[in-house]
Amino acid sequence: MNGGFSSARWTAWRGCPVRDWKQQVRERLGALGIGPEREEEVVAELAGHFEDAYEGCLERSATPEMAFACAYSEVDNWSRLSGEIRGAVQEDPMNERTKSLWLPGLVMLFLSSVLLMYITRFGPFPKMVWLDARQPLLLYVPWLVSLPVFGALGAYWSRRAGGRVRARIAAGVFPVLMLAGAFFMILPIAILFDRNIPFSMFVTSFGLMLLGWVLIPGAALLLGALPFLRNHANESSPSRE
Amino acid sequence: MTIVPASMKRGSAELAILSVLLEEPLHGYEISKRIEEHTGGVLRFNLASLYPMLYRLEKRGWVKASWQTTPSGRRRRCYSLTAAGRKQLPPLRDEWRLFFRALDRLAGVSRA
Repeated sequence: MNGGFSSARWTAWRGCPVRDWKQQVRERLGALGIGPEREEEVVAELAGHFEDAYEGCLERSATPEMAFACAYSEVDNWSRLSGEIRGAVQEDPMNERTKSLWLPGLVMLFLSSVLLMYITRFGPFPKMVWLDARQPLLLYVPWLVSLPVFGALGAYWSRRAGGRVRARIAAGVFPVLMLAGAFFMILPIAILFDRNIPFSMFVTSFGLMLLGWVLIPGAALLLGALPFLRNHANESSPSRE
Repeated sequence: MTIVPASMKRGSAELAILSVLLEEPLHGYEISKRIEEHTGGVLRFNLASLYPMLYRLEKRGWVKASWQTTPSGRRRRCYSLTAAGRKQLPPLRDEWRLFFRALDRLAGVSRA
């Protein structure tokens, strides 16, 4: 993999009048297709590495020719290196968090919202639970029953995308996280602007909404996500390659 | 000296690079030398394995690079750890710890 004075490679390089390292690297890497500026930067950086490696070999009492071969032995396959650099620089524009949290979370939010809209329009009436004499807690039972499936899908998707446990939980319960965020934003605004409703009623109403739209659905989503919080047998390697 | 296979090196590259950058900002060649020194030569990253990984880490925002002039007057692209990269270290360490513990339970590595 590294080091060692490969005689074949050394023979191939002997006779090269060093040391325009940039030119040497540019010729061997070929066009990277990553934009001229970035390409120039990569070439300059790799040339600097070769220069340092060359001098490192000289310091270990190698002759200039051996040091040259030693430095270049760091690359076995230039076209593969070219491809790997291109792949790394042009890596998927979606970062890890997008793939493992935002994408699965938003898709599950969309799907669960569509289902909820369908149920509210065409489904049975919500179940009313009178925890408070003035206002009932509304439960859309078919929607609640479906939520573990969305929780499972979100967590599974996140796990497939390499998400850690926290990302999987968040992707699983994502639909209610958005609702919770909305409630916590709406409450202070409502208290501020609607002064005709008593504060105690606000609190009760908020508590019931939180229970019906965040806590109970959140528990249902989490239930579905639970089996996917553990690593799959195939994912036990710490390698993230 | 036993050399760790290339596949494991690839898996450990992120942790190795982030760990040495935790000490101080370094350019590519220094990173490879530092890793080699710290591991007694067991882990070595040559140019071909190091730079694609550095570019990937940079793309993820775990490290950032800037051109700096070394004491010898040369321009080198130095890498330093970002806050995001710093946050990645503990979970990466935990994953590897877990991995080695599992391997130890399985094969008694520490008793071998």
